[in-house]
Amino acid sequence: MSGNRRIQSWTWLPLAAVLALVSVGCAETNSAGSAPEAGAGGMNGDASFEGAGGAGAEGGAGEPVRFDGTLGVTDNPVDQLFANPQRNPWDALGSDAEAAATYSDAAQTCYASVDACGGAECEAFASCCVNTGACCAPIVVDPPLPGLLDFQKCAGQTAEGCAEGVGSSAVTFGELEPVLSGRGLVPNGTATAEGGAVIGDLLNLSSQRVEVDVRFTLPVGCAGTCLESAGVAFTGSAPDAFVDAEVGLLLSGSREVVSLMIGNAVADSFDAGTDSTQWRLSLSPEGAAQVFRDGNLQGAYSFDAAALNQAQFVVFGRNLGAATTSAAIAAIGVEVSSCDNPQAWTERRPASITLDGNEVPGHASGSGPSLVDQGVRKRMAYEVDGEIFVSEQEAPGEFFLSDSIPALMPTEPYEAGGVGDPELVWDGNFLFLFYTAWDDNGLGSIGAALSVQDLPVFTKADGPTLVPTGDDVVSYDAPSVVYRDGLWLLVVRATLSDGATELRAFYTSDIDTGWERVVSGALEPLTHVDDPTSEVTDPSLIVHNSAYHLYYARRTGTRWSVELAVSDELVLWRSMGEVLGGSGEGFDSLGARSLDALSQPDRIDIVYSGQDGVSFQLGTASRAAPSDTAPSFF
Amino acid sequence: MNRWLAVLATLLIGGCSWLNSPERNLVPPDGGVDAGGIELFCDDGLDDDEDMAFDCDDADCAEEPACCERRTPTLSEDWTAANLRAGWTFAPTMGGAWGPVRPSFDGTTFLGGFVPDDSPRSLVSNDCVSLALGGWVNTTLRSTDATGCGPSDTCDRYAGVVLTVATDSAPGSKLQDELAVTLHAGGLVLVTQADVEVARTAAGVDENVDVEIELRPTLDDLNLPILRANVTVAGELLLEDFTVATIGDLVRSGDCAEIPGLHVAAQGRGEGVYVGPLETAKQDCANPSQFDEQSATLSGSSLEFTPSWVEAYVGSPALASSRNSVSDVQWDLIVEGSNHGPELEPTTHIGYALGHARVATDEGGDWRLDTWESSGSPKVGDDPPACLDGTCDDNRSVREPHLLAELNDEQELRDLVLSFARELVTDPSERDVFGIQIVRPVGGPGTSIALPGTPTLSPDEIPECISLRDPALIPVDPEAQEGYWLLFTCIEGAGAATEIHAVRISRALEVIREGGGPMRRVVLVASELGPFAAAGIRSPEPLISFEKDGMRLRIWFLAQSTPGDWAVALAEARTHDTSILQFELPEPVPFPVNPILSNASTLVQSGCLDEECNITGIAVAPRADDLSRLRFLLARRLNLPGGGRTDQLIPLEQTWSKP
Repeated sequence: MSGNRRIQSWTWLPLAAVLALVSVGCAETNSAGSAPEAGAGGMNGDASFEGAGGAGAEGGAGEPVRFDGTLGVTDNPVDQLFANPQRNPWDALGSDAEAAATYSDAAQTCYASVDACGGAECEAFASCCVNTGACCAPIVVDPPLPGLLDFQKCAGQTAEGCAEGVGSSAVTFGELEPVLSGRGLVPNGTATAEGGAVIGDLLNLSSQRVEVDVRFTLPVGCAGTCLESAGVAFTGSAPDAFVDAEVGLLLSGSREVVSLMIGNAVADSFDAGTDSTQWRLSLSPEGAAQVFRDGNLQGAYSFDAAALNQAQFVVFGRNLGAATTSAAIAAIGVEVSSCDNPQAWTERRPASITLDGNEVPGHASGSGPSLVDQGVRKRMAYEVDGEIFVSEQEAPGEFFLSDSIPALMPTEPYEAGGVGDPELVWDGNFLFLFYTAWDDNGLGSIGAALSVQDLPVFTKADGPTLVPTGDDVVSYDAPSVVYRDGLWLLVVRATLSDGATELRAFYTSDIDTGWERVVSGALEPLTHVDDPTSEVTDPSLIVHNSAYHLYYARRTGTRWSVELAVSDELVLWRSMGEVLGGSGEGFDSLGARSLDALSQPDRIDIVYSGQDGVSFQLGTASRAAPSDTAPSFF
Repeated sequence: MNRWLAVLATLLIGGCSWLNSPERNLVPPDGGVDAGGIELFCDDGLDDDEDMAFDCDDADCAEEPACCERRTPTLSEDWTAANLRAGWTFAPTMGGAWGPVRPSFDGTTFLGGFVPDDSPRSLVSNDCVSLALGGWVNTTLRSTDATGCGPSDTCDRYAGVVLTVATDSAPGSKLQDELAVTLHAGGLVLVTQADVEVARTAAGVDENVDVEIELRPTLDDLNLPILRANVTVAGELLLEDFTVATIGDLVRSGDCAEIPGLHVAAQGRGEGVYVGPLETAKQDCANPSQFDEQSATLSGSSLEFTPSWVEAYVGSPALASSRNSVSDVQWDLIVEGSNHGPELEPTTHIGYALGHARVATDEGGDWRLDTWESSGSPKVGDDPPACLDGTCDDNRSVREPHLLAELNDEQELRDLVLSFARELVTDPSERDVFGIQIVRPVGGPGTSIALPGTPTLSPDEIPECISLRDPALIPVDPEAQEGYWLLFTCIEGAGAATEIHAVRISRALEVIREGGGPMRRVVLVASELGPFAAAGIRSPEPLISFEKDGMRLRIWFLAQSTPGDWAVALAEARTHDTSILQFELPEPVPFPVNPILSNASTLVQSGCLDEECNITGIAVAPRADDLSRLRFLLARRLNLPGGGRTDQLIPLEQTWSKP
């Protein structure tokens, strides 16, 4: 995980002021979860789980989920649990219970719905960087659109030449070539066909934030019914006689307005002003469009950003009058930045697993995959028939096995029902493998193993690292583990004695001494399921851009989908809802489950199981996601 | 509105563009079988008409999806055919072949022998069975050997019926079951979904176990259409109102292209367990999405309008049907048209005019493609209606006609009442300000109409609306002696309209006032209708029918879920007390699976280039020669090779017992 970018911006001053009033208390650590929950079994070999003993009981188990004014903030060592300790507000703001309550209140407000992160106070939460169009990273290397195209200064040139002059490109369309004059770019469309130019490269508006600044030149002597227009827009299809302006601004000379076009229809119109009026169209990946006129917000609207994942930027219009009086685009300026839209997955493809160049039968249908990045290589573990295999990635979606021997097989009594749900963790030195150990009653506990070799050969701990104890839980399975800054974090599915299931989080600084449970938080209620028509499982926890991202699979009826919740401190969670579902075709046409995520610089890679109605098959995908943009005003 | 939505959710069910499906017959009153009025809602647990018959017990509800018992068989398999592979897929298709045995018990042939038993094996119907409008699946299960299997235990040997979206299974795995009823060899009967138990019961060994799965569509808490099931095993209702799947998750290909459904399978493992004859049926009662395509698709040229005013666009049809003096059926059609396409509107003002065409047909016949009596030039408005060079700045646009045919008892025309939007311009900046004009008489196609000096209703009288569009009239009594409600779209800004309002109009076509302003009601609000209308509504097309014990008002309208994606939707209002119509319009409740016709439907996309065809208008009128038949005229705009656009008016029909 990379360090935090220190943003020195006036925009954060109000937040600092807000938080200056908030004295957030340091969580007391004498909560119900304070006692170690599980002792890990001892490890043979040099890299041992030191101090390991028999499997311990979980101290926090059985505690009812409690919602008081602090929502569990004071019941857990939150100062340790922050996804990015450098952003720990406790350090800056001191500690008292009232401050913790204020912190919880703010989180409740900001996490109340997917789109509730808009308030200034919410910018305190790194979780609010996800799916909000905030915390985006400017694309400065090979930006898809030019930062500035001053068409007036290009008078006499071609549109192509003007674009090339600023390192971009333009492809003109229409019956007549656009004209660049002192008025700017006159699109030169007619009554039967629009004219203009496609500028720059493709954009993905489902993951990129775009700010378009435009200055129009108003036509002269145009009133009533003249045909004079000029506009800028993003379109998903190549321009023909008509530009499908999926979202854009269009100057109408006869109406003397600038219209916001959404879905090729006028969504709103504003007085065109003068030739010096500055227009800004701000587009967010979550589908929010804002129009500013001379810096003043005119309105906010929704558009279908997901449909514009390969959008073209066009300048276009119609001009029947003389070029000397026509409507024109004087200049445009564009800023493009990359944002975290958790639904904007690209390159969804089935995975292949080979051995000596040949596909290994049945392995592409393996379950519970886990990805790990060891720096020099990436590996994927998965389960087939109660055994765990570890493959190596040679290209996105392509994995190979070094041999056909499983990396982990059931050997212990508590593994009599098999092993599965592998979770690979790299702590910088050693490769850890956590897994579900199923007993002969079908009940799970969490096992751990360690490999000190480059070619993974795992040595199991003497016993499971987490076992279900207490009255309320009968089984743990599907572990997801994060190691960072000396802290181990674990999320598992707990099956309760009444048959219900929920996800639970644990932490420890030493896996040899057992796990503490995160108590009284929002995770359990968020993921609790007690209906046989539904199921929640397969958690995958990562730290990305100073926030925890917890993916988990939900079955509704027969259909699987992956949901996402984000948190700054593992206690309070912001639910993003479904972020990966059926693609409508191919191996994942009907659904997806068992997502395992891998945080990469400015990207998140995933492996998952796609559902096509006949079987589940492993697949991979990725999405852009800035990893170093969460504000750090603390 | 939410309560209304919830109530109607259980009442009105259909689907998108499900063609050739059973005829829609929302509420056929019981004709005196039970006393009182209409059971307004058939699944609300109330006796709406106070006749001591609740919901489905009331004959009023017999045709409703929640109550319909009329069945049309869709699949019948008795397992006696020599070659089962003609209709069934033997799953898993990967792996070894297998052949079932087909013993006879009590004269009935059963399917069994799911061996080798290293994998579940099944016969999956090649054809998808349409179930989204409701239906039934019936079969009989039987176990003849309980050896090694307890009466309440799951067993390695089992057989059952499966409803699935899949046509195959992976070796070693069961079919993906949206719903399955399985008899285990020891007598345990399990109902499962995703192979997870949702209900169980016990049955005897060596006896027939009858299974019926009854499926009915409804809405979930989020107003999404879903399919629910009741499962009856050996005469016992084992599972009630169980959600099988969302309608959107059903199979929509092959035989289910129009009415979504599922594949049916007989699945088992091992020997001594059997599946008896399999029969499926669909409900044969209701579907407002059903449209019977008619011949004679019309265009501006086929209606013999002068190209000078329709060469670029014709649409927004208005339709009326009546008997003429020789008992032929007379059709009056008024459309808007322009010499410039509406795509230019964001750039500049485009003018429109109205033309009138009329044709007579034999009783029960379709109209002709040509030889319509036509106004030729505009009946109302200018020719050409639009110019782009400033030469016709004084032209005033007229748009969006609606025709109300006032008929006598013989269905002969007493009057046509025409309403339309007319542009009101006192300043060039007001080029898009419209008011509503109502005209009677209309005359024949050759009769031109001169615009009065002032409109019937001006936006000045409606504070929230800067412009009034898309008028339509509803008579408040069968003879319209007390006048009308005038529906119109309220334009509040530059974007799409989100409200349809109504103003009371007298017989003399004057606005009736109350409290210092027009007597006005808000009829439909986009934000209250559901996601299908999230981005706006317009173009109401009402139809009212007066019964002796009440009235029903249906309003078809255009709605868009996202900008530019207009679809046809339906809302309905009913009341026992028709006298209130003079003062109030009962609140229309949206059909639960709106839209009933979308841009993605076959009707709109057929013959379309680049899937870029769009619905631009809809008209509806009951046939004067058959009041159970409604004729629709769907206007769509098509892309042409090379970038041009053209328009078509597509005639459709639908049968209602009480239009």
